[in-house]
Amino acid sequence: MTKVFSLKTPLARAKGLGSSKNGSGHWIAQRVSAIALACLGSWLVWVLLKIGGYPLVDTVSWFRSPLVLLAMSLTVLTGLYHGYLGLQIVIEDYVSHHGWRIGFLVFIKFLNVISGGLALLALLKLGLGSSI
Amino acid sequence: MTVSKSQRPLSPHLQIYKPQISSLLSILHRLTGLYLSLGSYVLVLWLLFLAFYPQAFLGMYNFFGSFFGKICLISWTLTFFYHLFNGVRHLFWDAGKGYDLKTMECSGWAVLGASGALTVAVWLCVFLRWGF
Repeated sequence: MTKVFSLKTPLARAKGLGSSKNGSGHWIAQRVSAIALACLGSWLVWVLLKIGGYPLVDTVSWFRSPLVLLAMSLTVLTGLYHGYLGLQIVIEDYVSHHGWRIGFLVFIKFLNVISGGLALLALLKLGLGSSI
Repeated sequence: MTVSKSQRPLSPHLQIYKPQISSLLSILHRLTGLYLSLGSYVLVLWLLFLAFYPQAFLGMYNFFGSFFGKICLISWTLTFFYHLFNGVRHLFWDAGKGYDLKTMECSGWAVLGASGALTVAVWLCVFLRWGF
Protein backbone atom coordinates (compact mmCIF):
# COMPACT_ATOMS: atom_id res chain seq x y z
CA MET A 1 0.00 0.00 0.00
CA THR A 2 1.38 3.39 -0.91
CA LYS A 3 1.43 6.00 1.77
CA VAL A 4 -0.88 8.89 0.87
CA PHE A 5 0.43 12.31 1.72
CA SER A 6 -2.06 14.26 3.78
CA LEU A 7 -2.05 17.75 5.22
CA LYS A 8 -4.19 16.59 8.13
CA THR A 9 -2.70 16.00 11.55
CA PRO A 10 -2.85 12.39 12.79
CA LEU A 11 -5.55 13.37 15.30
CA ALA A 12 -7.72 15.01 12.64
CA ARG A 13 -7.34 11.89 10.49
CA ALA A 14 -8.23 9.57 13.34
CA LYS A 15 -11.29 11.64 14.19
CA GLY A 16 -12.60 11.18 10.65
CA LEU A 17 -12.39 7.39 10.75
CA GLY A 18 -16.03 6.59 11.50
CA SER A 19 -18.20 4.58 9.14
CA SER A 20 -19.12 7.64 7.12
CA LYS A 21 -15.84 9.57 7.69
CA ASN A 22 -17.67 12.88 7.85
CA GLY A 23 -21.07 14.39 7.28
CA SER A 24 -22.74 14.72 10.66
CA GLY A 25 -21.63 18.36 10.88
CA HIS A 26 -23.11 19.04 7.44
CA TRP A 27 -26.31 17.20 8.34
CA ILE A 28 -26.78 19.21 11.54
CA ALA A 29 -25.90 22.54 9.89
CA GLN A 30 -28.48 21.87 7.17
CA ARG A 31 -31.22 21.25 9.72
CA VAL A 32 -30.31 24.13 12.02
CA SER A 33 -30.22 26.58 9.11
CA ALA A 34 -33.54 25.09 7.92
CA ILE A 35 -35.16 25.86 11.28
CA ALA A 36 -33.78 29.41 11.19
CA LEU A 37 -35.07 29.83 7.63
CA ALA A 38 -38.56 28.65 8.55
CA CYS A 39 -38.83 31.91 10.52
CA LEU A 40 -36.61 34.19 8.43
CA GLY A 41 -37.97 32.95 5.10
CA SER A 42 -41.58 33.41 6.17
CA TRP A 43 -40.67 36.90 7.31
CA LEU A 44 -39.14 37.55 3.88
CA VAL A 45 -42.30 36.43 2.08
CA TRP A 46 -44.32 38.74 4.30
CA VAL A 47 -41.88 41.63 3.64
CA LEU A 48 -41.95 41.17 -0.12
CA LEU A 49 -45.72 40.98 0.04
CA LYS A 50 -45.74 44.26 1.94
CA ILE A 51 -43.11 46.31 0.10
CA GLY A 52 -42.77 44.50 -3.24
CA GLY A 53 -45.05 47.00 -4.95
CA TYR A 54 -43.51 50.12 -3.38
CA PRO A 55 -41.78 52.59 -5.67
CA LEU A 56 -37.99 52.94 -5.33
CA VAL A 57 -37.95 55.82 -2.84
CA ASP A 58 -40.34 54.13 -0.42
CA THR A 59 -38.47 50.82 -0.67
CA VAL A 60 -35.16 52.57 0.13
CA SER A 61 -36.61 54.38 3.12
CA TRP A 62 -38.23 51.18 4.37
CA PHE A 63 -34.73 49.70 4.64
CA ARG A 64 -33.44 52.51 6.88
CA SER A 65 -34.09 50.68 10.11
CA PRO A 66 -31.45 48.74 12.08
CA LEU A 67 -33.85 45.88 12.82
CA VAL A 68 -34.82 45.51 9.17
CA LEU A 69 -31.16 45.52 8.13
CA LEU A 70 -30.29 42.93 10.76
CA ALA A 71 -33.19 40.65 9.83
CA MET A 72 -32.54 41.02 6.11
CA SER A 73 -28.81 40.27 6.40
CA LEU A 74 -29.51 37.22 8.55
CA THR A 75 -32.16 36.04 6.08
CA VAL A 76 -29.98 36.42 2.99
CA LEU A 77 -26.88 34.92 4.64
CA THR A 78 -28.75 31.96 6.16
CA GLY A 79 -30.53 31.40 2.85
CA LEU A 80 -27.28 31.38 0.89
CA TYR A 81 -25.67 29.10 3.49
CA HIS A 82 -28.56 26.62 3.42
CA GLY A 83 -28.58 26.86 -0.38
CA TYR A 84 -24.87 26.10 -0.47
CA LEU A 85 -25.31 23.01 1.73
CA GLY A 86 -28.13 21.76 -0.50
CA LEU A 87 -26.34 22.45 -3.79
CA GLN A 88 -23.27 20.69 -2.38
CA ILE A 89 -25.29 17.50 -1.81
CA VAL A 90 -26.87 17.67 -5.27
CA ILE A 91 -23.43 18.06 -6.88
CA GLU A 92 -21.94 15.24 -4.80
CA ASP A 93 -24.85 12.98 -5.77
CA TYR A 94 -25.05 13.66 -9.49
CA VAL A 95 -21.62 14.82 -10.69
CA SER A 96 -19.51 11.68 -10.71
CA HIS A 97 -16.49 13.00 -12.64
CA HIS A 98 -13.96 14.00 -9.99
CA GLY A 99 -12.66 17.13 -11.72
CA TRP A 100 -16.09 18.50 -12.57
CA ARG A 101 -17.31 17.76 -9.07
CA ILE A 102 -14.48 19.70 -7.42
CA GLY A 103 -14.95 22.48 -9.98
CA PHE A 104 -18.68 22.80 -9.32
CA LEU A 105 -18.20 22.64 -5.55
CA VAL A 106 -15.60 25.41 -5.60
CA PHE A 107 -17.74 27.44 -8.00
CA ILE A 108 -20.87 27.41 -5.85
CA LYS A 109 -18.84 28.10 -2.73
CA PHE A 110 -17.39 31.21 -4.38
CA LEU A 111 -20.76 32.16 -5.84
CA ASN A 112 -22.58 31.98 -2.51
CA VAL A 113 -19.85 33.68 -0.48
CA ILE A 114 -19.57 36.50 -3.03
CA SER A 115 -23.37 36.83 -3.15
CA GLY A 116 -23.43 37.13 0.63
CA GLY A 117 -20.73 39.80 0.54
CA LEU A 118 -22.57 41.77 -2.14
CA ALA A 119 -25.84 41.57 -0.19
CA LEU A 120 -24.12 42.89 2.95
CA LEU A 121 -22.55 45.69 0.92
CA ALA A 122 -25.95 46.66 -0.49
CA LEU A 123 -27.57 46.57 2.95
CA LEU A 124 -24.73 48.66 4.39
CA LYS A 125 -25.32 51.25 1.69
CA LEU A 126 -29.07 51.21 2.28
CA GLY A 127 -28.50 51.65 6.02
CA LEU A 128 -25.97 54.44 5.74
CA GLY A 129 -27.76 56.29 2.97
CA SER A 130 -25.73 58.50 0.66
CA SER A 131 -22.70 58.65 2.97
CA ILE A 132 -20.93 55.78 1.20
CA MET B 1 -6.28 -4.74 -9.91
CA THR B 2 -8.49 -4.31 -12.93
CA VAL B 3 -12.07 -3.95 -11.76
CA SER B 4 -13.97 -2.18 -14.48
CA LYS B 5 -16.74 0.08 -13.30
CA SER B 6 -19.31 -1.40 -15.69
CA GLN B 7 -18.98 -4.90 -14.22
CA ARG B 8 -20.10 -3.85 -10.79
CA PRO B 9 -23.78 -4.37 -9.99
CA LEU B 10 -25.86 -1.22 -9.99
CA SER B 11 -28.71 -0.61 -7.62
CA PRO B 12 -32.01 0.05 -9.41
CA HIS B 13 -32.52 3.75 -9.86
CA LEU B 14 -35.23 6.29 -10.66
CA GLN B 15 -36.23 5.00 -14.10
CA ILE B 16 -36.89 1.48 -12.77
CA TYR B 17 -39.49 2.38 -10.19
CA LYS B 18 -43.12 3.30 -10.70
CA PRO B 19 -43.62 6.95 -9.71
CA GLN B 20 -45.18 7.21 -6.27
CA ILE B 21 -46.07 10.14 -4.09
CA SER B 22 -43.17 9.36 -1.75
CA SER B 23 -40.53 9.46 -4.48
CA LEU B 24 -42.12 12.31 -6.43
CA LEU B 25 -42.24 14.58 -3.39
CA SER B 26 -38.65 13.72 -2.54
CA ILE B 27 -37.52 14.70 -6.04
CA LEU B 28 -39.67 17.83 -5.82
CA HIS B 29 -37.88 18.79 -2.59
CA ARG B 30 -34.56 18.89 -4.43
CA LEU B 31 -35.96 20.67 -7.48
CA THR B 32 -37.67 23.32 -5.37
CA GLY B 33 -34.43 23.73 -3.42
CA LEU B 34 -32.55 24.38 -6.66
CA TYR B 35 -35.18 26.84 -7.81
CA LEU B 36 -35.11 28.65 -4.45
CA SER B 37 -31.31 28.87 -4.67
CA LEU B 38 -31.78 30.66 -7.95
CA GLY B 39 -34.24 32.92 -6.13
CA SER B 40 -31.64 33.77 -3.48
CA TYR B 41 -29.33 35.16 -6.18
CA VAL B 42 -32.21 37.20 -7.61
CA LEU B 43 -32.88 38.54 -4.10
CA VAL B 44 -29.21 39.60 -3.82
CA LEU B 45 -29.46 41.30 -7.22
CA TRP B 46 -32.63 43.07 -6.07
CA LEU B 47 -30.81 44.45 -3.00
CA LEU B 48 -27.79 45.48 -5.09
CA PHE B 49 -29.94 47.28 -7.65
CA LEU B 50 -31.93 48.94 -4.88
CA ALA B 51 -28.75 50.25 -3.23
CA PHE B 52 -26.55 51.10 -6.22
CA TYR B 53 -28.40 50.96 -9.56
CA PRO B 54 -31.82 52.67 -9.47
CA GLN B 55 -32.22 52.23 -13.26
CA ALA B 56 -31.71 48.49 -13.02
CA PHE B 57 -34.06 48.39 -10.03
CA LEU B 58 -36.77 49.96 -12.15
CA GLY B 59 -36.12 47.43 -14.89
CA MET B 60 -36.49 44.61 -12.38
CA TYR B 61 -39.59 46.24 -10.89
CA ASN B 62 -41.20 46.39 -14.32
CA PHE B 63 -40.18 42.85 -15.17
CA PHE B 64 -41.75 41.43 -12.01
CA GLY B 65 -44.85 43.49 -12.70
CA SER B 66 -45.22 41.84 -16.11
CA PHE B 67 -47.17 38.65 -16.71
CA PHE B 68 -44.07 36.49 -16.97
CA GLY B 69 -42.55 38.18 -13.93
CA LYS B 70 -45.65 37.42 -11.89
CA ILE B 71 -45.50 33.79 -13.00
CA CYS B 72 -41.92 33.71 -11.63
CA LEU B 73 -42.96 35.25 -8.31
CA ILE B 74 -45.97 32.96 -7.92
CA SER B 75 -43.84 29.89 -8.67
CA TRP B 76 -41.25 31.08 -6.13
CA THR B 77 -43.98 31.47 -3.52
CA LEU B 78 -45.30 27.99 -4.25
CA THR B 79 -41.84 26.38 -4.20
CA PHE B 80 -40.97 28.25 -0.98
CA PHE B 81 -44.04 26.97 0.85
CA TYR B 82 -43.57 23.49 -0.57
CA HIS B 83 -39.91 23.34 0.49
CA LEU B 84 -40.81 24.77 3.91
CA PHE B 85 -43.62 22.31 4.67
CA ASN B 86 -41.83 19.32 3.20
CA GLY B 87 -38.79 20.39 5.21
CA VAL B 88 -40.88 20.21 8.38
CA ARG B 89 -41.91 16.72 7.26
CA HIS B 90 -38.22 15.84 6.95
CA LEU B 91 -37.56 17.15 10.47
CA PHE B 92 -40.26 14.83 11.81
CA TRP B 93 -38.64 11.91 10.00
CA ASP B 94 -35.28 12.92 11.48
CA ALA B 95 -36.92 12.60 14.88
CA GLY B 96 -38.09 9.11 13.87
CA LYS B 97 -41.74 10.04 13.55
CA GLY B 98 -44.23 9.64 10.70
CA TYR B 99 -42.49 6.81 8.85
CA ASP B 100 -45.38 4.40 8.34
CA LEU B 101 -46.76 4.42 4.81
CA LYS B 102 -50.20 5.72 5.68
CA THR B 103 -48.88 8.71 7.68
CA MET B 104 -46.29 9.40 4.99
CA GLU B 105 -48.91 9.54 2.25
CA CYS B 106 -51.22 11.70 4.36
CA SER B 107 -48.47 14.14 5.29
CA GLY B 108 -47.37 14.27 1.65
CA TRP B 109 -50.82 15.26 0.43
CA ALA B 110 -51.13 17.69 3.35
CA VAL B 111 -47.88 19.38 2.29
CA LEU B 112 -49.12 19.71 -1.29
CA GLY B 113 -52.49 21.04 -0.15
CA ALA B 114 -51.07 23.50 2.38
CA SER B 115 -48.47 24.94 0.01
CA GLY B 116 -51.08 25.34 -2.72
CA ALA B 117 -53.58 26.95 -0.36
CA LEU B 118 -51.06 29.38 1.15
CA THR B 119 -49.81 30.39 -2.29
CA VAL B 120 -53.36 31.15 -3.38
CA ALA B 121 -53.96 33.10 -0.15
CA VAL B 122 -50.77 35.16 -0.52
CA TRP B 123 -51.45 36.03 -4.13
CA LEU B 124 -55.08 36.86 -3.45
CA CYS B 125 -53.75 39.41 -0.94
CA VAL B 126 -51.30 40.76 -3.52
CA PHE B 127 -53.91 41.09 -6.24
CA LEU B 128 -56.51 42.60 -3.90
CA ARG B 129 -53.98 45.18 -2.72
CA TRP B 130 -52.16 46.10 -5.92
CA GLY B 131 -54.57 44.90 -8.62
CA PHE B 132 -53.58 42.52 -11.41
